Amino acid sequence: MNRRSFIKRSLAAAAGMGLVPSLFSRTALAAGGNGKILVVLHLFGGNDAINTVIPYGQSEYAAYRPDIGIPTANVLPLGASGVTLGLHPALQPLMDNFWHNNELAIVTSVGYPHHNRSHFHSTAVWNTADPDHTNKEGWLGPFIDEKSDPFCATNLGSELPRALRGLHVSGLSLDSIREFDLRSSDWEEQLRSELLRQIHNTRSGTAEEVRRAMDHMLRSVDKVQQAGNSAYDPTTEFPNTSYGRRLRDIARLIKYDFDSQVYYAVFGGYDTHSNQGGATGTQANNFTAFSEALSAFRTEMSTQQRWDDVLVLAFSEFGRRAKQNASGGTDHGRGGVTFVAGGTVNGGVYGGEPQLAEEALDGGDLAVKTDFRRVYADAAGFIGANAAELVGPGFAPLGLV
Amino acid sequence: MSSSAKKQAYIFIASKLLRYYFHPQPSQQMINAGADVLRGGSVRDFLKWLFMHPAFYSDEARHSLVKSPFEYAVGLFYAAGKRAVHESEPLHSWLRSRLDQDPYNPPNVAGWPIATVEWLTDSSLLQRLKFIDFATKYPEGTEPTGPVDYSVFMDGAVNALSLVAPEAQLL
Repeated sequence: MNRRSFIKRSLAAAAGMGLVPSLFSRTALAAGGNGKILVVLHLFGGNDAINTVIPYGQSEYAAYRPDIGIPTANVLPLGASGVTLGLHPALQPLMDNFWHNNELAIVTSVGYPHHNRSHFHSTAVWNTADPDHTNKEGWLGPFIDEKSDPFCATNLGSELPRALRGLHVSGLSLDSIREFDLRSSDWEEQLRSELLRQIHNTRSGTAEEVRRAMDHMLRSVDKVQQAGNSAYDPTTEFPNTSYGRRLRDIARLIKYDFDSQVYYAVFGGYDTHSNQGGATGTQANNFTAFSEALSAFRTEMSTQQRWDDVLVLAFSEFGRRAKQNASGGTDHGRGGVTFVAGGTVNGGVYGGEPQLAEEALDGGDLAVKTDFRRVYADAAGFIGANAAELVGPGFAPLGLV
Repeated sequence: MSSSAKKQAYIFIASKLLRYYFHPQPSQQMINAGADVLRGGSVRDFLKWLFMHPAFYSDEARHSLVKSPFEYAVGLFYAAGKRAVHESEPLHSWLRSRLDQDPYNPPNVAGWPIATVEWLTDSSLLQRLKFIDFATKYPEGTEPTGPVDYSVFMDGAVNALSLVAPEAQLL
């Protein structure tokens, strides 16, 4: 522990004990931050990369996917130099609001070495940024440990992803702002008033530590509930989808000036072994919900004049096989696609066109050309973290931002 | 291995066992005594020695260990007179996604925290309190299959509401 983190940790401890006025502690704790915000969206299930960013110029594409291929007429051509790639038609909002504003970086053929086809193993790899040691703290763990403040990273969801687990401190996880409360039923109201009545009776030893932890929790609940105040309602209308609700909660916390520099959310529905659909269908519906919510988020961030302070990173734990299967879907593969968006992003395609010729494939999968840790290195740098500490040495940022 | 290295191994294991069963910061005296018992016998001898030691029953050792989510959840079910988990009660999902302990799947090679307040993050404490309502209610058409007695879960507890006290989190 260096001197700076010692001071911060002591401050955090003092704040937890209620020894420091809250305004002071909030400012002091936030002093290490650079005011930038990383929003990580995990599209869980293994999103099919070449129906997302389509290499429609290669004859193999249509041949490999007679039932689920996107007809060239429906593809939204990116017009990027040197590559013939286009977006899935359901990503029209991404095209209009991000790509045309030069705010969307598309990283193709992204993945990790010694690939594993398990969702859970691959997720652990992306979460720890260490393909060889996935049973450890998350890649953002050292950042959270350094800040020593669980508020510095917030997951919107029921389960805290490993990415936000530090060795000493882990990020906060809330299903929704509304539910991070002890007033959602009469019984909880009763429990809360009993707790408030008892909380000031000090103890000794471990019981006193627990009492302080409870006191801290009550303050946290109050703080999150303050963000629920109508003064912090986002002015933009968000779609009433899981994407829309989560991103609206994130936008609300940002408006409240919550201490988090990292927000995280996981969305399912990308494991399309059967009935994946083409221009319409399962994957298309996911994309519509995703890109409409993300567009609303962009609008809201612009309204709040924070869009230049935000970096959105949307990844999936792997891509799918080049050829469709017999059930109108695709099976687990290797190379995937990652989107990075934000007001200061250098829009473009990073990693070129995935090559579909039989000899260019990796055992029937799209080959991995870019290690995902290089994308993380950009994200780490954005929030002022030490990229080498978070993802290991040797992963130069791609210059996405 | 030198004999002093061996001695360190007994001290290391004794210290871990004491932190797990006895106190988060056992005295050096207890650790040394425990290491001697281990050196002359087995873990079984060690536990027998510990469970019969007057210090084990002292006021200082009482309420010094934080219940793991598993101990908390199962203990509360037991106190609520539930001898089995009803199929409509998603106990495992509570443990995994809200109380933060997925049985048989430790977070890393070091395992779970040993009985310390590390367990009690804001969100897991909040969920522990919400869990009381879940654990002390009976699914429709069922009733307790054992005696309902919250004092086995926490000294002096008379009803579910008593369990807001910090002592409910402790062994």
